[in-house]
Amino acid sequence: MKQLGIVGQSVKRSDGIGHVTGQTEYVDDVFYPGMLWLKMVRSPVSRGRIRRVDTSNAERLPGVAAVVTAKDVPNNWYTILCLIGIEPNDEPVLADEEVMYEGEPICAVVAETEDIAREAASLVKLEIDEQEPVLDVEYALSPDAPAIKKWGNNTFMYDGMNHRRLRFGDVDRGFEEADHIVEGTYQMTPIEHVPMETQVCIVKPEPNGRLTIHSNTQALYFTMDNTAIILKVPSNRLRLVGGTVGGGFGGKVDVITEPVTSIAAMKTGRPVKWRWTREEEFRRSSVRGACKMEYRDGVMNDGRIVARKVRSLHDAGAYHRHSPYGVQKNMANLTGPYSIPNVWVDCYCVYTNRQPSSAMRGFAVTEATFAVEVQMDRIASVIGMDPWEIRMVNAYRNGQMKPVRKVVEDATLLETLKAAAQLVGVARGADDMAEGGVHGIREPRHARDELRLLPRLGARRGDEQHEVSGGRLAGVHDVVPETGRAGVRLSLAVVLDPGDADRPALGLDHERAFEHVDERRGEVLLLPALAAGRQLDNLAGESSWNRYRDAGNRPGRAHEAPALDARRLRRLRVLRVRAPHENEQPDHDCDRALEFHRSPPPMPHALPERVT
Amino acid sequence: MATQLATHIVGFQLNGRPHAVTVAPLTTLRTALREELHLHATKAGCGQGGCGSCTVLLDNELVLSCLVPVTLVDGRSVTTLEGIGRPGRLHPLQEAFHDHFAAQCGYCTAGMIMAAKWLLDRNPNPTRAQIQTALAGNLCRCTGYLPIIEAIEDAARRMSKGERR
Repeated sequence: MKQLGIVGQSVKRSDGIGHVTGQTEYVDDVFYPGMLWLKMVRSPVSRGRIRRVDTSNAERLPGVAAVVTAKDVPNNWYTILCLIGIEPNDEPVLADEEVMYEGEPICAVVAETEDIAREAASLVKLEIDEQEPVLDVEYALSPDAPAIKKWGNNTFMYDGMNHRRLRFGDVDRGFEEADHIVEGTYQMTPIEHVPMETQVCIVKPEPNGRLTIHSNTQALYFTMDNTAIILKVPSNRLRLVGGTVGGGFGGKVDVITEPVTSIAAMKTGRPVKWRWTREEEFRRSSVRGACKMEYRDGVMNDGRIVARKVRSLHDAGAYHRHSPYGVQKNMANLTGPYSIPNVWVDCYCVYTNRQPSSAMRGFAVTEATFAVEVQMDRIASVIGMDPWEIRMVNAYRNGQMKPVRKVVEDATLLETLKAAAQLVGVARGADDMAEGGVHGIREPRHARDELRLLPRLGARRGDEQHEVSGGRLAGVHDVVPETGRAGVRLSLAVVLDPGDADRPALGLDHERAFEHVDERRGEVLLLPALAAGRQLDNLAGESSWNRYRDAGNRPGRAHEAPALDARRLRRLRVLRVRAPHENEQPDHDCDRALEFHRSPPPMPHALPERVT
Repeated sequence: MATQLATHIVGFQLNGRPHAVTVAPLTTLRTALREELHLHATKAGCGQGGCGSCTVLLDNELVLSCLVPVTLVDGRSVTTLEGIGRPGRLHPLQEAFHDHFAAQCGYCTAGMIMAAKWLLDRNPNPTRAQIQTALAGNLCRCTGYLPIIEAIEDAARRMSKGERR
């Protein structure tokens, strides 16, 4: 028990002494005898087809040990989220047919010194037929724009649609009832993480056939998985050394340096270091994507937001990376910590010929929060209400259903508002909330009234019917698990109950979710909005799935897909290709994309079994 | 550039001891420190004099070692973070940085402490504005700077109380 005394205490960093004395070893501090240096040859144009890559002059330069091209990459696809269903493969590790953004890696030169590598890289001759680039998200969505993606449009495909949809309640009715309509458009430019330490990687071939990889990745297991997939080697061939990161902020989640450096080390049999210049870090590394969010809110005179319609555009740049996942998070957070009974969201993950955007601190939630809070102030200004009060009126209360079908638990916005009001010395925030209410905070009366109108835990079966992206949630109370928590703790899945009034169809405690499905022959719907792979690994583990299948269960309506095996299920976990919502017309460009998903073209070149 | 030979021999005092390196022309002090002498406290952040990660003292003046050709250092005196304290024998600035959580990722820390040492060597009792001015050439992406400024204020107090150095 004594150990627990550490909670609430300020403790010093375990690596602090190393930091303040300069003894902490970062990746760039590691040098091996005989180490080679790598430099990347990058695309000079934003979009084009590669006609020829002539590396002969570079190879002839004294001191050059090897040139690594696309042909040397055993599996020339980098799809970091392939394990949670982001597809199809799209981004080559090294470009071989086309280039999609200025600075895209084409081939790597490995030499005795960094200077020789830099000079050799400048000797590689590129012949590229330049094509018209798409550099703006609105243009990318317009019919005039060329389709830069193989599947025939410029968006990521969610469930067979060119955007991620969220539908909750009836927005049109909400707008009709509203006293005011408040609109606002919010935009953010791309943002670079600017870690003080640029990307660095060292790979050393070991005599036992393994590769020792010194990486400054933020995500060692991402790096191990994706490097193994790209090298086509078992992950036990890779020994990752990491943990010391000179600033990341999301910029070191992508697996960019390790695969190419590994191939260079395998090809030469010598240790290889690749470190990026500051210019590369700024201009070639992934960024936080540009975002544009158009809001239309229906608001009552008492401050309640009764309807919200949002169109959100996210510039993914040239390739997936983490953007499709980030856009889902954006979709789930465009209502902020506020209860809005009628919500309509269309989120587009748009591809352009710009440097890929990817993870950065909160993915696209930060963008959503920015838009939500400025919009709250705008609404307060339009209806003449105190900005503190309008947030209190609309704040989540425990038990309310969010538009993503997650029940609010442990809501603390009111307490946070009260504390913030006191901290900044806003009298009305503190005084007006002096008595009663949740945890001593008085809720404005109309907010309490609204609370009763919203679906909440404990409602009787059949009281509320909620659509869940094509499926149907059989009564809100069905998300109340036996433990009282599981549906929310996972934040990922609800069990759809096909009927039968006696037993609640729940119990989402990993394995138990499937046990319950076994008994009830129900369906499992994975809420894509909040899907995060690791928990789903447990939920959709093969053993559970096999038991489900062996028990004679067949996938029901929510699945649609035939021959659902464990591998298929894993792919379906987050982003299932499914018929569009029955009440909405599919978008014009969906058919081609769906066709592509069903039968992707073969790989552009034959793959060697392994690099020697 | 690529085929230039390491032909220049440069000798200088480094953290109080004589050192010599054999380098190619235009090799920077930072590269000589990190890649010839393998003193890695001095960091490479931008190579353009923009971030301050490579800050060292040259004859007790603050310089960005990525912009100083090492040949210009011949016969002079260089102090790096390794020269002002080590684990078990910390400089008050290092103690204060550790105590105040002023190092997060740690990549800017060497430059920050060297800039702070330069300031406290000249002004043992700086105002907050003077500290901010002294750190103007050093970027940090983690801390938001406040813990660093507080650490320097605390170090100044510790040093004026007659703690070591």
